[in-house]
Amino acid sequence: MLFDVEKEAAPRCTIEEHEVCAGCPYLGLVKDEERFCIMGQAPQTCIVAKACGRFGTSPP
Amino acid sequence: MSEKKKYSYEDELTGSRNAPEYRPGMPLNERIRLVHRLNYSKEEMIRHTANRAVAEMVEHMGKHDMCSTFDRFAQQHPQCGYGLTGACCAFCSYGPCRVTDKVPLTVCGKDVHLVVAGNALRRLAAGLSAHGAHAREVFISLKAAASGSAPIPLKCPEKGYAVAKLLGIGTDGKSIETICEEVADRFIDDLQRALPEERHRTLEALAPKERVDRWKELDIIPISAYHECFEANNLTSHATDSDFESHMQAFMRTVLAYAITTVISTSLATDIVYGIPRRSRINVNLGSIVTEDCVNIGINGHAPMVAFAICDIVGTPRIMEKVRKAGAKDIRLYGMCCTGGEFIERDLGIPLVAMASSAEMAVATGAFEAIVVDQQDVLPGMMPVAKQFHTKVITTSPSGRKEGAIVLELDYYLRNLDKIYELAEQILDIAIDNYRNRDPKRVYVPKVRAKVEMGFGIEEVMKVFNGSVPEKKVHGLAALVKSGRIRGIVNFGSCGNIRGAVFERNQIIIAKQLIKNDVLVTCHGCSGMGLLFAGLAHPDASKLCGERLREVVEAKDIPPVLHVGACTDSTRAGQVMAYTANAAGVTNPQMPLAMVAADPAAEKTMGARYAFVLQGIETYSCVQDNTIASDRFMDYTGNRLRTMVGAGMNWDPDPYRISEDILRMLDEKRENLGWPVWDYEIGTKEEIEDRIPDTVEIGQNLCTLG
Repeated sequence: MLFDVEKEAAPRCTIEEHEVCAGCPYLGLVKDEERFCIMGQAPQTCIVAKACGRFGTSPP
Repeated sequence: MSEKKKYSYEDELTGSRNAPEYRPGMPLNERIRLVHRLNYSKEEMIRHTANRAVAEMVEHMGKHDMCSTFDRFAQQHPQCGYGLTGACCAFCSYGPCRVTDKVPLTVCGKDVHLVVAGNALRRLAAGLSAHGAHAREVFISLKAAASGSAPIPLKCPEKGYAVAKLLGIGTDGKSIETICEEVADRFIDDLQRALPEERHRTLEALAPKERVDRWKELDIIPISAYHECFEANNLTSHATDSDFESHMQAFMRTVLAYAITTVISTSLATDIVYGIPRRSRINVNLGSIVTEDCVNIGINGHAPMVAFAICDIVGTPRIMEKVRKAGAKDIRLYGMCCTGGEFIERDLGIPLVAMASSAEMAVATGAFEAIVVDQQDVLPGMMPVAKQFHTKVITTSPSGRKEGAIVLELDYYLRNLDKIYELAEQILDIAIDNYRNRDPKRVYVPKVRAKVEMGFGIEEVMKVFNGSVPEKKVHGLAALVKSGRIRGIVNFGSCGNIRGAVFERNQIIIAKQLIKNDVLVTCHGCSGMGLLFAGLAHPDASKLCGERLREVVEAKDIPPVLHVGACTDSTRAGQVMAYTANAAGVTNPQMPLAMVAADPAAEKTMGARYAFVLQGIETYSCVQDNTIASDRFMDYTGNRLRTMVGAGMNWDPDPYRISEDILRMLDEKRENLGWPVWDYEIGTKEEIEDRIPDTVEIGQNLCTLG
């Protein structure tokens, strides 16, 4: 749970459920809160998932 | 810092010693008396330590004629006064020389200040070497895992990507393995470089810019860890440097090499290879040892390669089949010292049972088939204890052999790195085979354990407190500190000492006083383990908190003491502090932060504490550093550093006085920032020492947890 002062300090980067987030250490799952990403990434364009080859197109 | 205090409550143990107070200009014999008086007997330790399992084991060992650290300490008393105060120089064969009030110079002509500074610098360099050896192994692991040259898995490639970004390493079009290998190469370069003209790229990338600029102004940027170690020994060698200021400049360069390469880079690389911390609940302390039908293996030391390989295969069907054939139903690993800290952070189901100085008490339970050790903080005194039982000691590092132990190690040139899992299985085979030799009648395990919640790496802290990795900010924690729900953040680290303090007492008193007064605590390393064993690292310990902190930790369901890992994971505590200050828009020295190394012991703790000082964080210890013979050194570290880097080293043997010093300092910083300030209150002995949290279980009927 976030206190009001914490929410006011900065918005959480909330995200929708996506398969590339499975097992990601930057995925935030806190009780009673929406899913969020502490890397500030949208799952569809996530640079971490891309670098780790989670879109199935790992660089050489 | 100012001397205005609200409370006069003093520790009765420290007060009863009648030790003279340190004052500049006091005669050497008084300084020696001061340090001698601040020692405690084995009986006092048994009565007053917060760790009841250790107290019980020391009594048990005494009854069975087993010698423990506490017996050996008593045999050493009185320790050499010149060594204790730092007034002895034994570097060359002109000596050893002692510098006294009547004989002010060594044979070569050094005064007491140069002798003390030289001793401190060499001790620091030894600590740098120790963590440096650990760092080298981790960097090699990362490189081997990334390149595929050894069968070591890369457990958190995502962190590899994040660290590459932090370091400014280009990632476009590269595979994650290539990125991680380049991270390893960067760390190795700053570990070993000889060329002076190249920048220390890790330092510039990882430290706050305000700090880097300050260090550049002071001209203390290291060339590399290897070079600073080399230079610290060169500069202090026979008739070389004889300038106190130059000694201290080398001291600070060496501290930075220690902090950036052997601590911060090591912790980051360890996370990439072995995974980042994950929150989990488990039991700790000797009462966690399973005595029935279970093959028990203790893992002790610091180097991760073999330890994690054992961990990877211990529960596999192949090993379990061998366990059953040996007549047992289960096999369990138990962590000791900082390898234990690495395990317990990563939710591997491995309880922590001892820190460095109490590991031989764990051996004396007679419940271990094997103790697997690598390097650093594995006390030689463990061997005679193990020999009294069936317990086999197995060494896995050529840097940490033990007379009489079985050697099953990665060789000096790592030529058998590709066989690491075969090595791990051989070790497990020895332990399993040895199960039949256990004598159940001789097994004695104190029924004392504590519940803990672990796994607070920087990523978890950011999740709990609304942080952002790319911004390097923990917004929520900054907002809670600024708004007055949390008074400040204090980190506890380093070892636990036998000298100058009652074992595992001071850090518990200070931590309890701080959480009672709304201070959020982080901890790591062996000193941090004392806080785990005292039951402070579980959400149920919120009952001991002040109202404001209690509201925060209960709302978030976290402990008031967040354990961040092993000794090198002071990195994570440093990140929590620096990223919170960053989010608050202030520098480290302005922020209400502190570091407590209550009872420092190993050489490594010299660098560990001064690393926080150079980061601009006030640092506090109850045990003196063998430097009290020199007023110039005491003034430099206690006062001058504050004008140079914004923080200093504070020493006071009384944990109650130190608690108030910290609270007063935090309030002064809050006042300077215009943030709310509220009263603090120093708890009495009854409230602080006699109140054991519900999270500590003492008795025969321990329930199963986590």
